[in-house]
Amino acid sequence: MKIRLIFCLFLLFGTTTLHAQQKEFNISGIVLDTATKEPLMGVYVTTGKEGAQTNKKGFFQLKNIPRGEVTLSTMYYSSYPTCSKQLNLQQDTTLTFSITEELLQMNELVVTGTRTEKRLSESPVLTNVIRESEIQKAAAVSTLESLQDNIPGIVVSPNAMGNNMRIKGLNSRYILFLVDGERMVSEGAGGNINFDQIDVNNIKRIEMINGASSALYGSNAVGAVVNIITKKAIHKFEAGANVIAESNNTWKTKIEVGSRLKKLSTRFSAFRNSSDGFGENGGAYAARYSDYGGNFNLGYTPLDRVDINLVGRYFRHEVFNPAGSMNAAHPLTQSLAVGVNGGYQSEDQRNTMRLSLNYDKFFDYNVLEKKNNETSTNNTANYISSRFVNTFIPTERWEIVGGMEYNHQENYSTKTLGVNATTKTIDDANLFAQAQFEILKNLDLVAGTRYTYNSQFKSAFTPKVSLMYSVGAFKFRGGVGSAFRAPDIKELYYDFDHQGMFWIYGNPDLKAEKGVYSSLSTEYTKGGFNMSVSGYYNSINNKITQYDVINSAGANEKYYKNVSSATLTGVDVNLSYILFREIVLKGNYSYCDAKDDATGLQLSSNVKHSGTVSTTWNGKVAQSPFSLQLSGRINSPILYQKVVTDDSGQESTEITSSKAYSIWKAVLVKPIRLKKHSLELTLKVDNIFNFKESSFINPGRQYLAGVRYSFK
Amino acid sequence: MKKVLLTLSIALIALASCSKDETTVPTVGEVNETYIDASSKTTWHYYNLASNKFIGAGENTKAGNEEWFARTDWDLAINTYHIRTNSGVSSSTNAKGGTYTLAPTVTFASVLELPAEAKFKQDREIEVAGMGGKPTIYLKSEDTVIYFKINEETGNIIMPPIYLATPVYIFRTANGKEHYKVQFTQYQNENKKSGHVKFNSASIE
Repeated sequence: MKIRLIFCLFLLFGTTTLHAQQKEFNISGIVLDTATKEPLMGVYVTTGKEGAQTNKKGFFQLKNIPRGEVTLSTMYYSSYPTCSKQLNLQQDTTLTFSITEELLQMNELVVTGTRTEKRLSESPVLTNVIRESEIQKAAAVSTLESLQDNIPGIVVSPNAMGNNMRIKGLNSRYILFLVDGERMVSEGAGGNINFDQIDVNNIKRIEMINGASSALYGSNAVGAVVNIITKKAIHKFEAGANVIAESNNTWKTKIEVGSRLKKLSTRFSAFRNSSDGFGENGGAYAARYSDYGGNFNLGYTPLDRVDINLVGRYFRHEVFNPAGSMNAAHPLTQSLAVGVNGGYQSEDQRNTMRLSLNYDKFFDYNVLEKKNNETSTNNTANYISSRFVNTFIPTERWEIVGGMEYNHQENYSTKTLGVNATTKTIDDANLFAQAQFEILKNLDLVAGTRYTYNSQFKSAFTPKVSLMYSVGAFKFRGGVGSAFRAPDIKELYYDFDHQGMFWIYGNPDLKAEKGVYSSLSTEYTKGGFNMSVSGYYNSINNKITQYDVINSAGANEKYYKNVSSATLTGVDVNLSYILFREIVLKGNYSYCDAKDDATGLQLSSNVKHSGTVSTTWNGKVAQSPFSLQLSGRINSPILYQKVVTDDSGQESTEITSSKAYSIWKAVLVKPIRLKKHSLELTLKVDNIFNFKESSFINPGRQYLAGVRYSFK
Repeated sequence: MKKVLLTLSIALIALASCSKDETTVPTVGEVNETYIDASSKTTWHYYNLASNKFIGAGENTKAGNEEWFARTDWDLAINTYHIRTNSGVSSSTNAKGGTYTLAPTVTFASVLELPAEAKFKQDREIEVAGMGGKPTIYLKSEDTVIYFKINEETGNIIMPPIYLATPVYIFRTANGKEHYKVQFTQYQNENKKSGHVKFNSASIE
């Protein structure tokens, strides 16, 4: 009996001591949707290195978590943002996570309108956002397709010189394209940018603001600014791969790997795209191509308030001749962008400074097929940009952004800048400042300006003022902004004999084009409904125009002058509506009258009425999610209007137009999640109704199947 | 027995081949490959098919053309991708040159004789659309060294141009008596300079 008592005492004492010394406990719980109270399956809940996924009943369990302060977070799940809870873990704990779906994601941060982070709903400049999830649900296989899906009125007429994209009559020279806030160099003929250099799978989101924004961004921000934000690593270790097979033996493959640690984050991705093209035996034609590319970023945060980043991007694009062609060479282009930037924030968080240096180089070669594919250089274009930006928040009602920027561009050409190989340069120095002032609680004012000194055309001064007034579910925005477009090196210095067929001469006396953009908009947001209507008036003066002279030998010479002006007047309507939490309806409509003031004709390729629509059903079958999307691009006829001069010098108007058209696609995406692994299967039918028209190069109906794997 | 049969069949095949050679196979002349730098837009280079030689060059001017149109010792002329035959508007002597274009599927090697249905095209005035400039009237054959790839939905030449090989042509000589099959095999030299033309030619019956 004594022994038994001692044994019992020992047990009691022992377990008490054990409990007192226990260092680890279990945490379990359920994750619910705040609105529906339904359990959510597949949500990843983490703390430190440990993580668990919820089951069908929304239940998760994390075992052996060290005692003490614990932060528990749900990872980003569908349109549910991350949610965290802190607790002092002293025993096994059960808790409930109630997470709220952000139907319209109006709280996400955008940067393009003011160069500082603002919530979408609070941005004083109306910003349209294309998100990663939307790109995936639309199975957009290129950056251009993603833009076309979401921006009305885009017309592309691709050929070997580029996509020749125009948005409502304005080509890529009038729309500023940025990648993470840095200018994409328009390297090709006609100011073309090859958007394939941006891997669509590497896009976090695309932000677009309409109107003149030279105050913040300098040259080219005449019609709009499109800022492509790339992905950064968000998990301790993440990796992924995807393969897409499309009609015409088109293959798109990609691998990516990334890591975010406490002080270091890095992400690397590489892709290869290739296609047989189409139309080799008739119909619309696109050449066979092979592309490679990669993206790299490395971020280091030595202190909480200091960060240093290194970014890089490479792209190689080779276009082949069709079988049996007698061309002795085919084109090859490469582009390389490297940047380093760093930021420092003061201890009181009122001052943030950023310094950045970016270098972009483009190479254009001929691959000489009869010389063992030796390459010969046609052109190179360099762009170096350095910038210092300081954001100062003196009081809660003020935010002041000021900075300076120096840019250097250099083009080298073996034949377009003279008979002999020639290099030409342009430099510009800039000072800019912008102040945001909260006049009243619901009235914000943003005023900014930029002074540019350009080595060629000298000075430009581009102010901008915008106001935002919020009342209830409404937001009213209005503003007047100015813009300039500096003449590019080709327009200034072209000296090109096109095989004796025609000659192009630049004009070194060209001035910058000037634009003034005024707009008024109303935005209404309530629950799952968001609608904005904006009207604008954009007047572009001193437009640089190429004109023809028939010389005494009857040959054609082309020159440039600041001669024309254009007026764009229009209305944009954007609508998003979420129905029964599962169906997302989106629509954009745009009316644009883009008039050449001298002739009264529409700017070439303008589309007066254009729209994009999509219906996405984010459904579930047996608790397993999928998305099914039907989307379309609808255009009134593309207008081609120009004045032509006949032999006797008589001018006449040549007016042609395409048919009105709509292109539709259907996409099914089925994600399968298993713990940290996720697999996404995609099926797409593009151009469902097999629309073909001579005004654009399209192979007709196309099919796509894709698999995407990711590990987080 | 097997050996005897084999020998017999070989002999039969040999005989059959012999008799075919002797009776039906036409005589095809030696194939000549010729190169010319015809990159100058203002110069025509004149060629005699029988001697396989360029016999001279003339400017694309009224005087230059008249001098060569009066001669009968050339059968083919080249200026960049344009060609002339000694016929029609390219002859002031009523010479009987001309071209006949074979179907695209016919290979150069397979052409052994003049097809019975051959009808020869004479040179004429042809308007060439200058790129963005005035259309120019050329006195030339409608056939060319290369074909430009066309976007068939618009009818426009795809830019930058894609040069496609032409079908095999049959050229009739200036005297109208002999025929040569001609196929152009090069338009650009190895450094991508256009107008560096190569062609194969051989006489046919």
